[in-house]
Amino acid sequence: MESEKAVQEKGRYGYGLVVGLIIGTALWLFTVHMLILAK
Amino acid sequence: MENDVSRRSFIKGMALGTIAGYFATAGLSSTVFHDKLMPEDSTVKTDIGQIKGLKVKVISETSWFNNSVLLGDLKKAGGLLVNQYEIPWTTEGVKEGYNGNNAGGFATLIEVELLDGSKKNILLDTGWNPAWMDKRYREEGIDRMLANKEIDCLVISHEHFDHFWGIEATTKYYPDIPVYLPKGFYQEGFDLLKGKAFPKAKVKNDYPHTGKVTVLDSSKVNTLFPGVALVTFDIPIICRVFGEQAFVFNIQDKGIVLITGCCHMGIISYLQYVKKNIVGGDKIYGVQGGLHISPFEDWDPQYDDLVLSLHRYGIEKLGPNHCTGYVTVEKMIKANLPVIKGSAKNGSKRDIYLGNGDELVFA
Repeated sequence: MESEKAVQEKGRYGYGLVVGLIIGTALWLFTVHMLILAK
Repeated sequence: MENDVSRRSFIKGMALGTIAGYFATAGLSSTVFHDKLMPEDSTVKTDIGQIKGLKVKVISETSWFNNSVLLGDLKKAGGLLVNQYEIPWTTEGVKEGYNGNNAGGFATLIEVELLDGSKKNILLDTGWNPAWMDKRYREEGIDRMLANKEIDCLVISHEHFDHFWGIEATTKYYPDIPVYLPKGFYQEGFDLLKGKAFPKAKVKNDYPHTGKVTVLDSSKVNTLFPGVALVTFDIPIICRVFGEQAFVFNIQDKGIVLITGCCHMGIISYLQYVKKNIVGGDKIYGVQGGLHISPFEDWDPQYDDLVLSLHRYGIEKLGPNHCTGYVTVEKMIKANLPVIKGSAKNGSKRDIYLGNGDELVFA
């Protein structure tokens, strides 16, 4: 059975993953936006 | 310490998430949401108008009579990049030639019926050997049409010897015929038109042109008559030639017909240009002329893909000849493309494509 600490670590990792996905999406959209502006 | 471990897990997750988020959005936006995210094509298509129909008469598609002799001339001169006016072309002693001369020529008569019922006659190119061209002109009545000024203009597809050097065969009968040239003609070409001789290349013009010369460039689609246009391609061509132009006709209720001299720009570039730049370009009804795929009957496996890709354009009448090459036309027939056959007469060797004296109607 997983310890309470391990569960907590997984939670933190998941939280980071979600934040990262949002940042990554924003980064791509910003890149496209700049590419269109540069055209 | 415990907080440090938690922060490290968070940062690890965030790093992976950022990379995954970036590429996942990139993938989605270039596929599923492509049409919404990408700006629309802003090319303004040219409306060239429409015609009722047209008839093509092949005056001569036999540009030379012996491939080996022509290739030998090029090799001896130093290769494919040598200036054509500096090459001593073989003009005698060729068994298959016309009176021993290996030079023939390319010329096509295009009879156009406009929407108001009036007719326009256009001569596309004027061959190479004036004696051969004169013979073919007389056999097809072109000499009489020129003398009576029944031909509205001479369009030169490009400066190559076999399309332009027989200029005196035309100017002999109609010295002031309006001439359309593609941008890229060298000074030698203009000089030949005006009567200069080039003894090394054994080319001359004893009947200087006295009419209007119009040079067309690639900056726009050039409409000659309603429904009739010329498009120019800025391309380098072997034997130090530059630029080629080709026809676009828009036939009412049928679609676009493309007529070309040699098509050095490539048939796919030509089709794609018309599709992108001309109103109605999505519907290609017919293609006729030299398609420059295997002029010396050589074959590269990539041409198989080229032949098969022509199916994508839905062409209903395909009239290749001249520099398309017999081997290419055989492949086209095998691929069930709608190739129009000829009659192998007046110097044309095989009937698998339109030859000298053959006609093709688009209406």
